[in-house]
Amino acid sequence: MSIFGSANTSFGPSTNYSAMKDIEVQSPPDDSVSCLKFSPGTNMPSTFLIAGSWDNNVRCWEVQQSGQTVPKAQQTHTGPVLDVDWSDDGTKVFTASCDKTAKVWDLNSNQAIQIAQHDAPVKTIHWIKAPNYSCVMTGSWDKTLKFWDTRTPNPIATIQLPERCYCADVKYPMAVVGTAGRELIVYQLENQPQEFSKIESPLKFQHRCVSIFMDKKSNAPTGFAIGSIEGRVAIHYVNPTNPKDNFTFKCHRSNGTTNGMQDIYAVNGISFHPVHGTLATVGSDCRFSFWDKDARTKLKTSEQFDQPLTACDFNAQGNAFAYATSYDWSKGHEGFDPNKKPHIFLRSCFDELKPSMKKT
Amino acid sequence: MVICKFFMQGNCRYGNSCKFEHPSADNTGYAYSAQRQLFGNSGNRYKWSSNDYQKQQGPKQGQGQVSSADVVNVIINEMTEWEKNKMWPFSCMAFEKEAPCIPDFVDTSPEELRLAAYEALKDNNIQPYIQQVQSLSEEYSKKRQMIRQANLTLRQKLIALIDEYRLKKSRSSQPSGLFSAGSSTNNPFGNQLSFMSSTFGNAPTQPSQGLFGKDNPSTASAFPSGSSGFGTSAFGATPSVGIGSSPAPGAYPSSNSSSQGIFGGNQAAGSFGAQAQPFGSSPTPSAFGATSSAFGATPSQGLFSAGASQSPFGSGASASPSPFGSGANSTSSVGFSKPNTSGTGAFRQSNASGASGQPSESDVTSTVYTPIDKLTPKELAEFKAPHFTLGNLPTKPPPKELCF
Repeated sequence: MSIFGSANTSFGPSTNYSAMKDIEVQSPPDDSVSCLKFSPGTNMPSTFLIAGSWDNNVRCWEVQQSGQTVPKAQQTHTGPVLDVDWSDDGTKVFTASCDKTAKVWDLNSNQAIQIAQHDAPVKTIHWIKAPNYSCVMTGSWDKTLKFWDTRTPNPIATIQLPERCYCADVKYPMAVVGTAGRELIVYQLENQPQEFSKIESPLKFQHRCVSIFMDKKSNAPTGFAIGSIEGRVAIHYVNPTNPKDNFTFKCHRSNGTTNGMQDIYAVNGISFHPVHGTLATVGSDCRFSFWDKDARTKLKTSEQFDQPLTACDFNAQGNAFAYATSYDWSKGHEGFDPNKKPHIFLRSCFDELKPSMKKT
Repeated sequence: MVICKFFMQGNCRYGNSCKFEHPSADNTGYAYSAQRQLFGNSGNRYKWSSNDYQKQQGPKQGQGQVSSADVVNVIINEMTEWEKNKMWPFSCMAFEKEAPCIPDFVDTSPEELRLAAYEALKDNNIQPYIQQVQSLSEEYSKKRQMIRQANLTLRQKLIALIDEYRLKKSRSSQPSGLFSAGSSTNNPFGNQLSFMSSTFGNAPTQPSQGLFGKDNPSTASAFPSGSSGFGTSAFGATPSVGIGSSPAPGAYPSSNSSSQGIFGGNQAAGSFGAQAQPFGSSPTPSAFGATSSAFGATPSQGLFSAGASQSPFGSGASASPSPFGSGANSTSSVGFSKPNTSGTGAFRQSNASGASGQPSESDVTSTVYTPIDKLTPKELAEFKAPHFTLGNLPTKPPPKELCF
């Protein structure tokens, strides 16, 4: 691949394993996978997958049509990597780390340069491409949202958050940030990032992941899905035509052993299908599920894996679903078994995510 | 199974051995769902909307809303289940959806603890991390236990907090429909907006630390000095200021300079403290008397300073739904009584400006007061007595008839 100056092939082979018969990504990270991101669809001859890990590394694979993966390169932070994002042209990757910095990784030159600095670990990173500006947005546990032009050491803007940033998503011109203490803030990004509204969280417990969805007709961002530790996801339209459009649903729960009580697991990740507008959730219950938010039905639930699912993403065409099985610290250090290795799987998913026929 | 009506009122003395059902949070999810079961509904368990409840349940206390006492019961249930259902233990918890968090439950994410563990490992000393987790664990168990075994004081306090934000919400949400019309176009992100460079970067620093600081900012700015007029007087601090600066109904000047001064945290807290005095004779500590409560974090301070500066009418009436509302109501009637004086009641006045988007009188009255015929004789006796008796504090708001 020409766009990668130095293809790193030092990863060793590993055995394929999946409860769902999906294809395993070669040479997965050594520690839990915190985030997965496919390359954008624009002008890219092939598809790439990036994974950030608690082993401080960011890895890049080329994903072939067959679903086979070829390890390409990796970069290292001095702390666990919590989030990654792609530039819109697919030439750069942005990485956010517990080492309180964010970096830009130029895949052509395989150089990584620090572009951001926070006072606490950086939890989220997103590339913003607006007609009149472009920048990187970082959200941190230091209770700030910062915007960086990637060339200067100081942020071009800083927005105070009410609490530590726990999750964020950007689909221009909308950004949404979920924080500790159930704060939920929507920003509009036109001209300049600007708070649009604060939302009373429809969830009762700790925010964990958020994903913006598009209006099917206009293809503009119109709302978001936010997941919490309470096995629940809220579908929230920023300006619902009908208040009833907003709802929450239970997920990632299982019937426990004690008197029929449900065990409740965290929702670790949400991703929307780029073509169908349906969504996938992954959870601490070691399963993924596919949902149709418009028909308000579940499309599929996976088998149970041997470890929690920590991250997921769809590729730009919507025919591949990547998910990672690795420990998510949901049971603290006692639940950590270093003998269980992280895995990343690719699933052919286009048909499974077709919207439900029975519309309401 | 029939749901125990005493449980729903929050005082079933049979507890778990009651022969009627005490709906648990587990199989019901949120507060509303307890009622949903009653009406046997929904083939699709993923389908849920907050309005389900209102459609099926007749109005209760004049609103399609679960009573505050029921919300407390659901919270207690959920706290109990939380100990057993393997859910992440270090989370905040809301009273209900779209409501503020219960004070003192602070978020710690799995990632934050994991990082602490990794850093401890790097320093070759895992002990501090283990201790941190242990103390966190104990702290949260203790807090949950306090809620689970809530005594009367804590129960009253929770109910008061719930009534507080509900009132605030009912007041702030309704005007916003009228006044924020500009921002509610179909695609919020399609608008071409121009910004002063000075607002870039400092605009969103909202003081939302307080429990109730989450109002729609557009609402807050639409009524800034309206809030000063009603808010101050409600606390009885300087009623003359309240009346003096109170604008004519329907007119909402946009200068908010004065409201800041009036609602500076200290003063609001101070005047509120004074307002609590009428309840000093009450045998139990006041629901708002933060110091003696189980949660000694004085939430009322942040709560009322933030609330007053943000919500125009919320703070004025906020005190009234409390079980000790009679004192507060008489105070607020001073504040509201501009032209049509105290005789007809505090909320006539706010109804006059209802044309500009306020809740209608019936809404207000029904939330704030309990119809006298809805009270049990025991509760009525309590309200009529000069003092409340310990153990018999009514959990409903007082009837309007007894407030003036």
